[in-house]
Amino acid sequence: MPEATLEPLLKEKLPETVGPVLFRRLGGRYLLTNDWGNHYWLEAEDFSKYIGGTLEEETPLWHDLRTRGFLRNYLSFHELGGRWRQRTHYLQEGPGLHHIAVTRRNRNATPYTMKPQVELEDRKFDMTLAMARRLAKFVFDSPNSEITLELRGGDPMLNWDVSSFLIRHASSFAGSVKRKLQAAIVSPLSELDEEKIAFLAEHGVAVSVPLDGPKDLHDALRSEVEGGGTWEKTVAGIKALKKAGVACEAYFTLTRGALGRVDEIIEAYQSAGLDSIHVRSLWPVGDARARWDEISVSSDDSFAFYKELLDACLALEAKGTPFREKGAAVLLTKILQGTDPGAVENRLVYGGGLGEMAYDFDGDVYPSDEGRGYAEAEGDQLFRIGSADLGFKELISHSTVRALAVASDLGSQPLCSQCVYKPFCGVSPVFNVAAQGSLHGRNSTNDRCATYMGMFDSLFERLRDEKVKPIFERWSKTTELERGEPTPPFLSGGLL
Amino acid sequence: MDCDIDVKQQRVSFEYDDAIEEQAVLSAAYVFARRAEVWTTDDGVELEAKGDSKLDEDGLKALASEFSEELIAQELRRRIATENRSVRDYLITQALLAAANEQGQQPADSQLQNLSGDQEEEIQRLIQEAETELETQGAPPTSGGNNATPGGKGEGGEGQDEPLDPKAILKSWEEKRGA
Repeated sequence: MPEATLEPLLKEKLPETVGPVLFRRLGGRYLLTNDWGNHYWLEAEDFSKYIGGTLEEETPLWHDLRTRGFLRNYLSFHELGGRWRQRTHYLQEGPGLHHIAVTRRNRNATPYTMKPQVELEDRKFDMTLAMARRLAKFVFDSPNSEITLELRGGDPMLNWDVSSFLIRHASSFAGSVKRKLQAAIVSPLSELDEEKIAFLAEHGVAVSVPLDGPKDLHDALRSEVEGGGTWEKTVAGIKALKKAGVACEAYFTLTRGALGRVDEIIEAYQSAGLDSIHVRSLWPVGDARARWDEISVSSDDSFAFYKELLDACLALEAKGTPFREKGAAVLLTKILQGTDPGAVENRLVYGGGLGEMAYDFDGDVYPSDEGRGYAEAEGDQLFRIGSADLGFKELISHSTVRALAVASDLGSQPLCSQCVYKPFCGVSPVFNVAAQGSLHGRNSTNDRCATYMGMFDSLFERLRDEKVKPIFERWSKTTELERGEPTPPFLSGGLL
Repeated sequence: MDCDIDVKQQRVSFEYDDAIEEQAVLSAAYVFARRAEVWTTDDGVELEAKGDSKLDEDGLKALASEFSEELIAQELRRRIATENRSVRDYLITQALLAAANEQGQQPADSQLQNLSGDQEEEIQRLIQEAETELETQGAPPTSGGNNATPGGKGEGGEGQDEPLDPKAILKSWEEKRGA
């Protein structure tokens, strides 16, 4: 039913039974959500009755709306408040996720640095052991009890002395002060050897690897800077890590060459021994900006690709082969479990500075790895908030962190404040700057917003399928975050 | 719906229900920013279609119809938000206060109490070990790059202006736990 049939309702005052509800018409029905993270579907006729205040009371539908907090005169403040706290516990905690870029050197190209900015042997862009020692302790000054240390680069394995030093000494500190630590590395695995595999296994370090699907697609984006492909090494590295019992996953950056190749991409992941894929969108920065017309994907194509990939994952699951899209799992955790999985970019307020911090090789501090990556790719230190010489109090309360929080507050974003997906989504002011030139951005023409709208539409539409729901329930538990555990790595943004 | 269409100019205009307030019109125009420029007129709106492909008369009619639906949806959203603002604000304020109280009253985990003498010694030993390792590995490569680390005030330095921090989120872990 089109909204036009709701027009007569505009003549009447809104009845007091209608609570704080967000809604969207999807596939002929109405999806309702609210700030406490509940959702509910209504047929068009029932939605009209709900908004018109003519719903029959004491029916199962009325009870469903009441228990989910959609009826204003029956709100349970205690229960709904508890649910809101559970979903937004991060507002009380401070940064638990710490990205450290231990080098800018990388043997592999990335979509953002097709040509090396740093010579492979140029160690002046490596973090020093002195800085690493400082940071290994500094991250524990964070007000968050649980710490996640995620090493990025460049390729952290090219500065292995410092990477291993950081992990060993942060682990020692964590043990000494009874704090929980999760260490992680993002690496293309070009430098992986037996010694590193043994170290990663011994210290329980999680690893995330770029894998853009089949060889030709992967090598087109991530060739060796000295020439030649990297796909074989990457896949062999993933297999070796898995064999050694190291938690290893991979992420996929969507570019134009991937369109129409969903089956090949999933096959490449499965042949590497992976049971999940994490789809990331391309950002218009660095070399990707220069090649935007050549490699970017429109939001419509991105949406179509994502739906195809999601359905391919579900088809595998239906045959008994587990294979999930990790981004979907994160959103489903918020939708189905009512908890926050620790994804700092899907928050009520952007997690930069409040949920994560990023440190460059020279000790410069940024609120997020997106902000650090933006500086590296664009040469613009707009988001730099200081150095590790400062204290956490100064860094967290830095005017840039405050500006990011204000700009990303979903309640003050024109579309987000009324969006049905507000309880599960978040905006990135860093992306907004990169793509649209302002912290607030313009969500109505923002590709990130369009991508998330497409993802949420796909997930909610499929959630109505009784065969899919148990699969999504299972996915949602894979990224569930227990209170008191460190933030899971690899859930934040960044130019990877 | 009744509307005036100018295919050549790619424009369509129509009147809308006077129960729809200006804020809803602005919101609907924002939603349509990718597809059309929206102009308010004395008694309605005029849409100018954007995009590479030109719309025919039916296309412009459909655009107007969709915009009309969006206007109604946005007006409903505006009313729902206005009518529920106080109850929503109250509920979230209570939730935040409860969370702050929980945090303040949370008994300190015995494992997270003040560091014992042994733990202090262990930390000192680790620092010593790290420094020894630095010395034995020789002079580290110099930190280059374009961004020299500015002279700082030392770790944990305090700012001149104390920011408002009712929930103590700016306090370090040690300050919170009394370590």
